[in-house]
Amino acid sequence: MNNDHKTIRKFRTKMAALLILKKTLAVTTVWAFFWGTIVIVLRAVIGMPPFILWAGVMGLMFAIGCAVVLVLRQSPTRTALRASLDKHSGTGGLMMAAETAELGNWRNQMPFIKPPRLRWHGGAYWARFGGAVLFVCISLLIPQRFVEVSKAQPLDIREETKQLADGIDVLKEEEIIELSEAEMLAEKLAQLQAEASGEDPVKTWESLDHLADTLSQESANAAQDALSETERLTEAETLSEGLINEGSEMDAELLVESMAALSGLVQEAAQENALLAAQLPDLNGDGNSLTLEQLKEISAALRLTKSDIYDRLMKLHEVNLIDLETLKAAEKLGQCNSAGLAAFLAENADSMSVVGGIAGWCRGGVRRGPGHAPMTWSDSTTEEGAKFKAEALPLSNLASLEDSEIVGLSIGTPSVETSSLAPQSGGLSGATAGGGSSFNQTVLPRHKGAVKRYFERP
Amino acid sequence: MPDNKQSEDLLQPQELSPAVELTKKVLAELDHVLLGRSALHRMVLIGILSQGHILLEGVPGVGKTALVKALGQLLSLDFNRVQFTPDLMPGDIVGTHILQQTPEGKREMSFQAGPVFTNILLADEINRASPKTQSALLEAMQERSVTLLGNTRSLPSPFFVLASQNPIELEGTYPLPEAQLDRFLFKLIVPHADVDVLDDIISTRRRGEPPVPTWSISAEQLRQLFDVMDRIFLPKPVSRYISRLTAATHPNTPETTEEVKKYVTYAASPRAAIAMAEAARASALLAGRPTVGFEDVKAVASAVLNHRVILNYQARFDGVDTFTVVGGLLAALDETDLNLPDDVEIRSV
Repeated sequence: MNNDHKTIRKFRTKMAALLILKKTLAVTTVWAFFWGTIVIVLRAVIGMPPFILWAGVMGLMFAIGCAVVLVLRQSPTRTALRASLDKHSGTGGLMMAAETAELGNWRNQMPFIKPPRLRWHGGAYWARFGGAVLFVCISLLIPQRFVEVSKAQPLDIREETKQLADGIDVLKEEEIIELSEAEMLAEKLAQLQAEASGEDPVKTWESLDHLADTLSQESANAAQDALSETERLTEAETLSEGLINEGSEMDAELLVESMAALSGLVQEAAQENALLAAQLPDLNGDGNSLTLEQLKEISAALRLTKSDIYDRLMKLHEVNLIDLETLKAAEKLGQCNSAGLAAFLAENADSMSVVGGIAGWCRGGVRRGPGHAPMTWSDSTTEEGAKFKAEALPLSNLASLEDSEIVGLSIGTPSVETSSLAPQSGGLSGATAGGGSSFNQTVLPRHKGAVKRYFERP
Repeated sequence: MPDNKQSEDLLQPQELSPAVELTKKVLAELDHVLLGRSALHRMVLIGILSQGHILLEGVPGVGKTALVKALGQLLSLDFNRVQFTPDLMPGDIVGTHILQQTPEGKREMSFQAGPVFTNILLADEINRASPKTQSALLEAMQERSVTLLGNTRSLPSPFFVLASQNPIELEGTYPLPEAQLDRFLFKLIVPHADVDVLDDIISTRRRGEPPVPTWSISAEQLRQLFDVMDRIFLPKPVSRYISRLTAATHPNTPETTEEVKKYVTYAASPRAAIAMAEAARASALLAGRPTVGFEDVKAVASAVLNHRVILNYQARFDGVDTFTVVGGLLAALDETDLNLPDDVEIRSV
């Protein structure tokens, strides 16, 4: 093998290596971007673990193989390489002529030919390749939560759930609801928070409203019970205070009856309230004779119990389960002035019992009042002989009467409903929460003909 | 892979050397007679060795006629000069039949040869003659023969037309048709002499008269030169390059340039490729090489193509000439046809 062939082979090898490098960079860059995109898509859509996606390295091997094949298929011919060597070595065609002709003595005059240097301005290729590799690394190493798009964005209901959780805690602490029910509600609330989705916030809000309604209902019932109890305790307290302050002025019979009534009231209340039961002194016998000390202890126990009930209502109000009006009502029901009670009971001893009297004293009730004018009632107005003005209905109305329904009979003057039956605030104004219902509009009699014709059409 | 070698042998150094020496002597003598025209002399000699016709373009007084005269003396060839004018008739160039009385007393038409029957014809200011007269040269230039009244007469060998035209004073001139332009191997621009040359002419030449050549080449030596020319080897990549270069002057070829697409109306003909190959051979001979290299093609490409590529009016508006277009083509086309990517560069060691 002469020098020409060696030089051409070297030159060809150098060129092929450079072109393979160039093509490999280009192909792998494309592949890397493709791979990175696939990785992100698979991780985002089906949450495929990244370690499986590292298998894409195998694709790089394939890409490199393709690059090598492409370069080898497009590699320059030996004649072109020889021409290039001739050009860059300045042999003036001798190198090219040597392919097909004998150089003879010219070979001795030819210089030693070395393969020329190849220079590749491949900065852009390397930059793109670096970017592609970085993209692949990021796509593989980025935490799963940043690429997950299959799960919807959570709905921020922390404030609402905290408020409801506080309400549940208060209801549980105050034993308004059973422990098991409290746990069930708390569990339901936790589940609701976990499943809260930004894609369907209405469902979440409806569930929250439903839960809040449940709590409010329980609270309202408890508040109502508390008000009733406060009222009874206030009556008992007023009676005990009246006996303490004015018992000495009462006649013996009324005093005994009052003490018996008080004993009955507190014992009845104690059966429903453990705190009161614990605070009450031992009532001797049938309770018809109470000492002053016992009366004071009873009064103190009643106040303490009322305070406890009020505190309970205050807690419910603090977590927005009852409104301020309820709280004020409890405060108002807890107040009843005992001064003058003895005189009132003595005055009405004949007409009412002590229990009825104390109830009337604290709640108001029927009294004679300051005036003494009797209430008189006249006969009701008769409608006999009243006539209505006859008016012929239009034909369209007559036709619609065929489909009309009788909703009731009255002898009163017919009234015309002027308000529109159409929804006033949107199509869902008549809908109920959680039921999946929508507004239901009653078909008016005058429209029924049109509806009927619609369904009878051929 | 083994080379597909043919049995063809290159000219060996000992065979090539005498021819090279002769060309060097011709060039040296031309340079001695006409000062400051070395590049032009080299191109003219290339044209002569290629047996092509040359169109010299230059303003009056730059030495066009003196060059042709000196060349005729140096080559020991017959030399005729015809001053082309608008009233010049074809018969004034190719000759005519005249009625003559024979010694026997008969009268018969005899052919009176025109000035074209010579080795070197200087067609001075050829664009001043009418198209009819210009076309009379067509057959002579291509076929190297003249046909009159059905008789074809061969011209002396070798036969060269060295025409000159004046780029100024264009009023009353007839631009050469493309067909005739295509028959010229080269169109050479004869430039103004620079200061040093003018100084040399004034100081060494009495009344500017050029010296008579002291040496001339014989007809036999000239024939030997032509024989050597025939044996100058044209490698396949070079012939491929010439073909690609000629094809690239066409606006619709893949390897062409944007300038060609934009400015060229008519591109070079196959005759241009043949002329380029011949001229490149002569260039290689002058360089003392038995083979044509890419540099030889580049040396003659512009002179071969510049009068064959016809530009459109857009080029005139943009101030683009054929030298610019051909130069751009030479710069853009990769001689070796390696088809390397643009960002890969080969540097000589």
